[in-house]
Amino acid sequence: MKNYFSNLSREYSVYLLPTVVVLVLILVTMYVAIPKLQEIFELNANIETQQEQLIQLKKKRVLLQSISRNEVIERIKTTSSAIPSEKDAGTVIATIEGVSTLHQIGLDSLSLSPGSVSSDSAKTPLPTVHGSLGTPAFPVNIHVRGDKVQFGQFLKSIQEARRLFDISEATVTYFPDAQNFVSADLVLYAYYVPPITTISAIETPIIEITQEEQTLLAKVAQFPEIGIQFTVGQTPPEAVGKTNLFSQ
Amino acid sequence: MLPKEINLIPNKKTLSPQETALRRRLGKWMPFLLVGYLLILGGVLGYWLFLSQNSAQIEADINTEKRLISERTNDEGLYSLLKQKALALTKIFGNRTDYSALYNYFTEVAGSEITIKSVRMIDNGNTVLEVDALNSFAVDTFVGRLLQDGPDHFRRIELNGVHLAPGGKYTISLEIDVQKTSVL
Repeated sequence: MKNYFSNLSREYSVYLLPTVVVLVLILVTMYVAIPKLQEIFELNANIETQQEQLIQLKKKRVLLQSISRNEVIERIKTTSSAIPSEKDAGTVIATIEGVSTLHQIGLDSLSLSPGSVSSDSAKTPLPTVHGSLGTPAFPVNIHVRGDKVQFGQFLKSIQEARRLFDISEATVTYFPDAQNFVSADLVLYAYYVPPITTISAIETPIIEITQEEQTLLAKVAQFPEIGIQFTVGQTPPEAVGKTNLFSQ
Repeated sequence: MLPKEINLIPNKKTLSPQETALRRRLGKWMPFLLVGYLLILGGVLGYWLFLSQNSAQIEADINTEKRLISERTNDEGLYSLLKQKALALTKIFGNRTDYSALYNYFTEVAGSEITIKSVRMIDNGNTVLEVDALNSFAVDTFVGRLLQDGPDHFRRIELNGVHLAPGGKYTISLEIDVQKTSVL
């Protein structure tokens, strides 16, 4: 047997070394070069993703570092007086009363039914109260009357006040015997936006407030905050002094 | 008789001319092949090492950024809240109908010869008007003005009814579709 191999190696000695070299090269290629090449492709793709992520994170960090906390809090306060986080029927009544008084428009009736206001369900946005907009809102029906010029201003003010309303429907009737006076039935929508309770993952890019949105926020901040706010169900102030005019 | 070559070293094989030529060629090209291969392999390994280090560096940078961001979670929450409000405002203002402008427009168009009895405006732009006109000329003027402004402001004007009332007055019923984008 030994002789057999000895003879074999002697017979093919010229081919033996190249064959061994080629075999070694094939093995090195299979077990070292190809896996490393695959890793290179993976690393390249990974680095691209990582770089993209790093850019987004840097952008987010720079934006967060540039935020002035006090300014943002102030803006949230202002905007919340236009669109509160809760249904807050009190501000609805106060604003409508305030705008009516401001323009000397008689408020004959006001009805609203915001639904749950005291439980967690009140914080859940209603799916389609004011359908097309997707912003939660509840309807408020009012009946007003007054001078027709003042009524035009009332319509403007009711849409440009804090708290913010939209008119969904307005039926204006002119007094037949007094053309300067009108009465109107209005369906208003009072908006509210339940606050976000969680923030997105660190990797999620922050959605910047656009220039148009900045302009809109500034515009709303200019709207007057009309009416004295009170909460529905709040105990009225206790009467002091004489409460029965006919008593001694 | 031809001389015969005798192999005096039994373990050593005498190479044929072809084998000698092959050995010579291999001896010449094999080192080049090996060096070339090793260079390529070295390049692959070097590039892999470079990419690995690069990836590790980026990963470290990402972790640093994440740490810095997590230190500002409160600011992010406040900013997101403001963004939420801003988005709501964009939606609201994007779908608004300027009722005051509509009301003022119809009041202005009516003038002195038209008496508006009622206006019903809905936020999809649908407006129903009922007016009294002093005479047929006033009807013409009023409807003519609406038609003149129509292409810019209205999608549709429908004259639902014209009735002659006792006393020579006309009662007109109109239905108008106001374009939301128009600024009257």
